[in-house]
Amino acid sequence: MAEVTSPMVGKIFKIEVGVGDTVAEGDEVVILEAMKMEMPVVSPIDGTVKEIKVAVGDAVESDTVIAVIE
Amino acid sequence: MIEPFPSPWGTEVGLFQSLDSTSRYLWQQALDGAPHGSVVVADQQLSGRGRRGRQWHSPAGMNLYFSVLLRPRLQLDLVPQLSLVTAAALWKALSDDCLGLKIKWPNDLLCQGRKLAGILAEMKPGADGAEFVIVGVGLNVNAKVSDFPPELQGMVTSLSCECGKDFDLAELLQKILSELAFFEEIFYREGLKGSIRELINRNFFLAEKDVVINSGDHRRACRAHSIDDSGRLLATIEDGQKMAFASGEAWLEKGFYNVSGN
Repeated sequence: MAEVTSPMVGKIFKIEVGVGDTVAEGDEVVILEAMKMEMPVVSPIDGTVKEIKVAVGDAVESDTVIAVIE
Repeated sequence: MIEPFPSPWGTEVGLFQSLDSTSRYLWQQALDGAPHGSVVVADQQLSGRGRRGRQWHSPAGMNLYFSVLLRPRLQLDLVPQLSLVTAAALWKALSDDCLGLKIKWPNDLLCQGRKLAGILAEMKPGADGAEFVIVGVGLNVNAKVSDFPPELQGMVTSLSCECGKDFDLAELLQKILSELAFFEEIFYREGLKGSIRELINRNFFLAEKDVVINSGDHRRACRAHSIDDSGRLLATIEDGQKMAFASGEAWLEKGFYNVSGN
């Protein structure tokens, strides 16, 4: 099991996966907007999305858990 | 078509007749190891993108659509400021020809209140800072009013519309890239806090205007002032409280500030 965490302070503007989806290492889980820049946050492992802990528009801090992959 | 030329970073500028998106193409090149300062230009984009997944109208042969790959050695939290650095470089490259050019936080250049250029910056985070950043620019150069879709007319403009003459795309691109390389160096030396912030605030479209800021799921009516050393928008909300917005977008809403504040 692995947690997908936010690399920095920002806002979630797009969620690319749903609970139960199969993902590969490097697949985009969410798109984070930090200031004026967009960045994909990716899955660290191959697996299935067990939980998504954020919604579009949520503000997140650095290291906030965004999703859980198992 | 623009003829090949070397970029200020010493790389060969990649020229294409047509791409889905210059940023998407360069993102793939970056994953494959393309060096800092790689530049990709397309005569036409089939799926040009703006911020938040919006489309960027990209017809052939009349405008500039290009992306630059940067591999900055910066703390991760400083990397997003490269969008504003790009806006400052564009302003410097274009302001002699385009009077009344303003920078709108966070990522547009406006002339007489109409959109002239847009910047879309995307980052791939790495283990220590950003692995790379792709800065994409769409600049309306020689397009005439009739070249824009009817729904955009009145909201957008081009250098040609503003100046009454056409521009050499290659010359203009070289000038912009030189300024971008120059401003990038300044930014690495002193951050936003010196001359870059000063340039932006001197030419800040939102200065002392009543705006609505959409930041995530919150909308706030406020009066915008300037940007701070971190590139955040400083504004006063209805109850007089000062706030600094790190993300979101702002648009003018005439009277909104006063109405909501009463």
